[in-house]
Amino acid sequence: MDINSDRDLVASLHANEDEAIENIFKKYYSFVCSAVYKIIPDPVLTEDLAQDVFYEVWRKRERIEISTSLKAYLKRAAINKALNYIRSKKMNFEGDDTEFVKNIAVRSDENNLEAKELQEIINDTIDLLPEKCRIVFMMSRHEEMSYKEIAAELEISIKTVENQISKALKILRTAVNPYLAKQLT
Amino acid sequence: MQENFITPLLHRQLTNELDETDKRILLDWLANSEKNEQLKEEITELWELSKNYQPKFQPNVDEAFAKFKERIEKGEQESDAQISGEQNSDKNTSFSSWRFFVIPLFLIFGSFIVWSVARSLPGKEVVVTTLEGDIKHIKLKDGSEIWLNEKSKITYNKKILGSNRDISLEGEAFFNITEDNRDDFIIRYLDTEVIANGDVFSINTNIDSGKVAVDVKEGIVKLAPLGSGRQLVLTNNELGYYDPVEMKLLPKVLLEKSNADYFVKL
Repeated sequence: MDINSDRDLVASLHANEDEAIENIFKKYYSFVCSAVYKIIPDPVLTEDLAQDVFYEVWRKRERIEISTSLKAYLKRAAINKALNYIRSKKMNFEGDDTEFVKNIAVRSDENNLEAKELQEIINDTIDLLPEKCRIVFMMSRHEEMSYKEIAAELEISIKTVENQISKALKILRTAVNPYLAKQLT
Repeated sequence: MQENFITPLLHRQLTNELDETDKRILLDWLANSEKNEQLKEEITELWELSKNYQPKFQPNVDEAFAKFKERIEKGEQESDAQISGEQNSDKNTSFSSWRFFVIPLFLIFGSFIVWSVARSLPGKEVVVTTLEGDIKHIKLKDGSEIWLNEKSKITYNKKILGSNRDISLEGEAFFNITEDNRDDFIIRYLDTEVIANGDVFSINTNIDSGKVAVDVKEGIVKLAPLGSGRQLVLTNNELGYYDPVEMKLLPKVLLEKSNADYFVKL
């Protein structure tokens, strides 16, 4: 059903119908923001880049080719936008990132910690990962990219990718270790 | 063994990126103590849980759309700016001094808009096909070159500049794509995109198995099935395949010499 309605949306976009871009925007804006935010956790920047994604769709509306689902197309466009932004900033991933996770909350009732709460701790810790560390970690985790693919996309060495992912796992482990240890034993 | 060394191995195991040597090192390390096995379980659990991460950030869609609408309306007005400027020009005939500054600025701005609009408008579509035993050489306006092998077809926009660096291919072709700081060059076949920028490579969609093959002679080329969220990044002498039926990117193959060398000599 979703695919059909997406087909209708794309058809109305090609036909340059007035409501086409509004319908697409309202249906997928949050989704596109979520895809960008996973890599760049800055609400203002995320919304700017998401706006650019839809502006591109609108600009190319009469000749845009979407051969799979509209959702997949937008996700791809969102990730590309985020990665292009990162590349344009020319971040130094090789340098030592002295920034560290601040204020990891430790729950008082750790004995009764439920799976849902553990997930919350993970989510909070991911949000607190240092910028470059988070970018590399999320490219591996959410985009399922290999070390080599991440290195090529960010124009960094495979060793740097390895260091950043290890760092992210170490930080996550530090945050959840007291609880994980209890669950595993 | 240091945790700094072992964590990447544990992670590579989770993402199926361990080679045989590392696999043996990891197995030996795991067999060494129960504590090591526990670290592996912890990393595995962290990896699984982090997959469920969802951002807390929720945008205000209506506000965002109002901003977006303003932007597209502004875009349309800019396109009309030159026309309306000409229509209003006969209302005032006296030339006050400020016009000496404003008119050149207006002309520059207007020319820029006309150039931008002309650049973004689709040009004439060109289709090139080859018969059996035929090879055609095509030089595009951006300087890129294509050698189209027999029984193949490409479709592209005659302007092939800026955001129009985009063609469709059926069959086999060898590409020498010029570098552009702003826009990648995209070659499409069904649900597959091959993204290049300053690279030399060949693409074959005529394989009996139905796969799409990309063979890179020089550069970094991405083979990206639309909708999968994944892509295969190929560099010098690497051959990559995408199987559209199984919707799978296959492991890449390192060639001693790129097959592209046999197709055409640069």
